[in-house]
Amino acid sequence: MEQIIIALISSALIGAIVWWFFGKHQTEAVSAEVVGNLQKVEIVVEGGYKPEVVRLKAGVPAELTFLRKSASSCFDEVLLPDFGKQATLLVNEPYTFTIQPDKIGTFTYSCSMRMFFGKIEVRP
Amino acid sequence: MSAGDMTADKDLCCCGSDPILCEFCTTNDCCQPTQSMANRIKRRLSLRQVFFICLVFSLPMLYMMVADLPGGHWTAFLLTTPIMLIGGPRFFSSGWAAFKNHKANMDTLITIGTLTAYFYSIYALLAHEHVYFEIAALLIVFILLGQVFEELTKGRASQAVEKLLHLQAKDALVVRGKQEVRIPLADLKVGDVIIVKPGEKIPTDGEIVSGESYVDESLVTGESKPAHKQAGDAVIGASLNTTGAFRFKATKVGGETLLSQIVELVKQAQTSRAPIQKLADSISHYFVPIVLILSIVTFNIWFELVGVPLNIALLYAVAVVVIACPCALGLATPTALMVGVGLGARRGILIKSGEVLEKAKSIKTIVMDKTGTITLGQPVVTDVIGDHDKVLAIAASLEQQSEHPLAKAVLEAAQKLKLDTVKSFKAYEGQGIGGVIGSKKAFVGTADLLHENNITITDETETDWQRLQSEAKTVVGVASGGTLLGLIAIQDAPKASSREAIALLGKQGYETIMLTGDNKATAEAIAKDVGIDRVIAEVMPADKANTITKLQTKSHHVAFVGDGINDAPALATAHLGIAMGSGTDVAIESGDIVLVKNDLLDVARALKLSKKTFGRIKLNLFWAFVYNLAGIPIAAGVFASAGLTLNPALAGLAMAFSSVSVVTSSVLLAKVKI
Repeated sequence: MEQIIIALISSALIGAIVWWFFGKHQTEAVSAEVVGNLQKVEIVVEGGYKPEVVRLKAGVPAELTFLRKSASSCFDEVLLPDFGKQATLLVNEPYTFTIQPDKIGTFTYSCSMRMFFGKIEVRP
Repeated sequence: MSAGDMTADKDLCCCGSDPILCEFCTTNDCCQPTQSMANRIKRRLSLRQVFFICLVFSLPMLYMMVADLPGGHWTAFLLTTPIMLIGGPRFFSSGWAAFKNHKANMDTLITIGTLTAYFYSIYALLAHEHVYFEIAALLIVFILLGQVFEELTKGRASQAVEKLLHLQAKDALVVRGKQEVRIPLADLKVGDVIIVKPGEKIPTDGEIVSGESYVDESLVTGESKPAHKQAGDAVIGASLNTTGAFRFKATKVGGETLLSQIVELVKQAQTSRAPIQKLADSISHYFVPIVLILSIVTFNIWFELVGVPLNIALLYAVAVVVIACPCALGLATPTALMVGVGLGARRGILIKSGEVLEKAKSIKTIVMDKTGTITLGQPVVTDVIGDHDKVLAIAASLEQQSEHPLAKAVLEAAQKLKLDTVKSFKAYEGQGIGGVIGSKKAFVGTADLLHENNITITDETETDWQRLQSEAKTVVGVASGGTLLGLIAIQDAPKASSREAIALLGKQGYETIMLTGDNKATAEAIAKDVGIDRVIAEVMPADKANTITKLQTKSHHVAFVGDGINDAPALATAHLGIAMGSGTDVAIESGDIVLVKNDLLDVARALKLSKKTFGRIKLNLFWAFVYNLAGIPIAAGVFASAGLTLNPALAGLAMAFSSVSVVTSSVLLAKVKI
């Protein structure tokens, strides 16, 4: 009896893991706020990048501000290879990148261990 | 009470306002805590402090593994709890935050591993069964230790290049009106005349207007021998003036200087992608959830199929969770790239991206431009037949008034000789020049010019003439008063290091090809001199790119070496473009690899460095994969029948050090000789 219960719980757990991590979940996408010839967006770094997808308007200089809230060493650095940028983030100290999103497309950025990814969508 | 107030009352306070001690302080009002302990610790304690505090609490636990402590299980509980409260939150909060985002990371694994061990032990403590507090405590301590090491080594891997910028001069002594003023670097403008004294750093890029000195440019170009600089020569910001003094005019300031551009380029390269990383990236997405599933499966197999007690099955499950290390996979590429690219930059070899490393690895053929790449790019006098000084002095006296490119070479060779004034100077189109020196008619020019002026060429001189021409030299006769005094041979000579560099490339297994617009005979002679495998001569500059394309269709993986300005199309066409620069004229945007120093040996070094860096990335990835592939089954107890099992705390130690070892392996790349 005990064995059956454990087996059932285990199967349920595995199912839950698959659904939670691999299932389709809506990801938040936020468009940057355009003020004059500048667009700004803030990304909170806590267990991932929030919002995970930011939309930028092509051709307008953009300020991406990363605010790291998590002390986990996973988030010590953030890399934006498509824009040739990289920075060390300190907890609760915002860091702002200024990038020029000229190319249209979707670009990914990540933590230095490449476990967490965020996306920058550049649209016309 | 805020942190500031606490500091102000420090002398009155029972605990010196130490944020940790304060928490336990009851005798004095000065440190009434207003924030939760977790928050304060998060805000105030560095990784290293957290590690040392946890280490202190864990030492008695280590002792407990071999002997008993008074109080037994309860002591273990009391020692482990502070570790969970001080060392744990950084993992728990991150793991939880990631979980809420449908993500899992290393912190998820650590959280599940330690909390399982901790809470199971509390249950066991109350049920009077065997407890495993030491696993929870030591896991946290070991992983913190790993992170401390990682922080140290990663710091060493990344700081090298940015350090370059700190080596710049802080200010500059400029001439303003009639005064000399010292101004901060930021106020420097293009056109400012700057005074550089012996032993000083050169503040920015510019051109010398007066004075001369030897300048050590090793910081920027990697060239260790100080270069002689005089009026008209370019100087590079951040290079070091040795003993002379000079004034120079700033041509580039701020972010435009060569050094700033190099640092910017290197930073971009260090963050760039390397295609080889893709596999690791796609794995990391599935890695942690799959490990969690494996751990549940492990538990079930041991508990249900093998039939071991619950606590033993749980130990195997925890070991599986904590041994898995996705970080090592993620760190493998970027850390090696960072070290390799940084190492190159310090030697004047700028590798533009991670992709370049992969291109460099498959190169079989190296095509080199001749002028300026293999040769110096400036004709020089190589031979003088006859009375050396006399022949040169007469030729130089005449050439003073000529604008022919070869004139420069003759004048340079005759720098130390006394020249005469020339009357009735005449240039004979395509043949040479003539004039009257003293009272004698003098000529410098071709055999035709000499014949037309009734000057006889002896058989012996004729032989010399032929020989020099066959050595790809341009030969002129020098005559005065109706007799031929001697010959001067001029050649765009190979650079001192070209021969050695080409031999080295040959030894490394590359086919070398010289591409030039010169006629075949001249090209063949130079090629023979430097030992190049093949010559493609008489190629017009505009056709260089086409020639590269043709070579590539024969499935050659072709690298092209040329200067970044004239050869930009060929550099872009080749699989791998290596742009050679000289000093400030480096065309930094062209080519996949840019060599700051004008030295063909750096081509061999750059290719070697690319291969070594790529090799290190592969080694790191291999190790990271093997570690996980071997570690997980061992932790799961697959080899238990052979007596091979792993305590979960040791599994955690192995995991912490697998990332440390990857980072260390990358840092060791800096020791590679190139």
